[in-house]
Amino acid sequence: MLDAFEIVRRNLGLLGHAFLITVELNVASIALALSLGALMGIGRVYGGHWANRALGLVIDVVRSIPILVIMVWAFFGLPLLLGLKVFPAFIAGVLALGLHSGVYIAEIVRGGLASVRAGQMHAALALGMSWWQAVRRIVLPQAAIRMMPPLNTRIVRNIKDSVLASTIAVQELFWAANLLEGETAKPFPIYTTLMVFYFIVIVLIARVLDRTYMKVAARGAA
Amino acid sequence: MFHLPAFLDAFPALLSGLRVTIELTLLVMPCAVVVALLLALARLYAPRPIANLAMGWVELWRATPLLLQLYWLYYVMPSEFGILLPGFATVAFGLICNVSAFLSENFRAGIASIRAGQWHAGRALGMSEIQAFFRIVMPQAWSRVLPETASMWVELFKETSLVSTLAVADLTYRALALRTENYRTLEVLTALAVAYLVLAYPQAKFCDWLYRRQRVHE
Repeated sequence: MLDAFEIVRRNLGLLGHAFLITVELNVASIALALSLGALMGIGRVYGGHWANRALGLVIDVVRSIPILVIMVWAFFGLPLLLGLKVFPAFIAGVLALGLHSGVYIAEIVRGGLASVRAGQMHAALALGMSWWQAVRRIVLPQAAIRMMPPLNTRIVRNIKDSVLASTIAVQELFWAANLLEGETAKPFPIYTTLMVFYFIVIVLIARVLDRTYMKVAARGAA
Repeated sequence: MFHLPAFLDAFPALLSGLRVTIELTLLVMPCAVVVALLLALARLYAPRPIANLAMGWVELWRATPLLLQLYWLYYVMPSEFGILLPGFATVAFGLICNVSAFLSENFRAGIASIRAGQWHAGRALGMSEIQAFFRIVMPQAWSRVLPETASMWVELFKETSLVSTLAVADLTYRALALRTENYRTLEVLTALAVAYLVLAYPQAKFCDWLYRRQRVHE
């Protein structure tokens, strides 16, 4: 226990920086995942037969590949494919996490939109709304509430998956922990502290997301 | 730029790793199902302290990153507790703990979803509690948890890739090693992704089919 305090105290600068990177990595990748997921989900429901098929295939392909493999491919393979000399690991991490979480979110969005009865759309159109107005003001708000529980699970999952960015040398918390373990040869205090840290953070975030859902859940009921 | 022969040549080199990936999945899943059932039963029917203990255990494994769990086991068990296991056994143990924690939540919900009347009917027919559970409740609960369990299987199959970071020579490990040998990075890593895709895609489709087939109409 004393070891843990001592190691944290001596490396506050490194750990603070790593914590910031972890936060940035998650904020950026979750934002990307939500945008991608929303676009792909809407495309599947309203884009017609062929868009639905094509997006479905993309989603299934990404779902079948482990996030670690996507991450390694994005970092080592993608720059070769694009002919880039410099490719920051952070960007590769954001792209990989965002794409991976994004396809799962696309399926959540699709399910949510499909769960709003067709009558809602018809009613909105009958009232003179444009298609986009109807989606944005009638269908999406109802669907969004129903999507929250699986979305929350996915966001938490993204946070847990983000430690994999350490394998492509993104200098986030787990990367810093491995560095310190290499310097001090004290795995017990280092990994246990990080474990406790993640446990507290993830339980807190899950609780906050869950509370937020509970507040609005009634408005999403069918 | 993309060298097709190098891409095709990568596959035979990956085969030995594929064996480890499949062995790991086949070993972990049945063990995890048994542990998960025990955890679910402990949470539903055991006395309060044991139920709470089971809940804490499940939360611990659900709320921390898998990679961190595997590292903790791999580095801390030998250094602090003098437990020296081969890498394969260590990661298999970690995966069993992780997967069983997620599965137990699924099982618990599935068992709890079977109405009390089913128990009562079983008891009224002269069955013991245990008979009623295994012959009435469990078969119904099983069909409800089957799709989620199948998804977990696919999830596990993909997550075994993390063991490559701990020098267990699975599919991913073989590809990363091959990359440093022949420097055909793009081809080898693409072959790796394609290998997982070809193996996991049919499994994922099978899960989707299970979901459709097993949907509960009450």
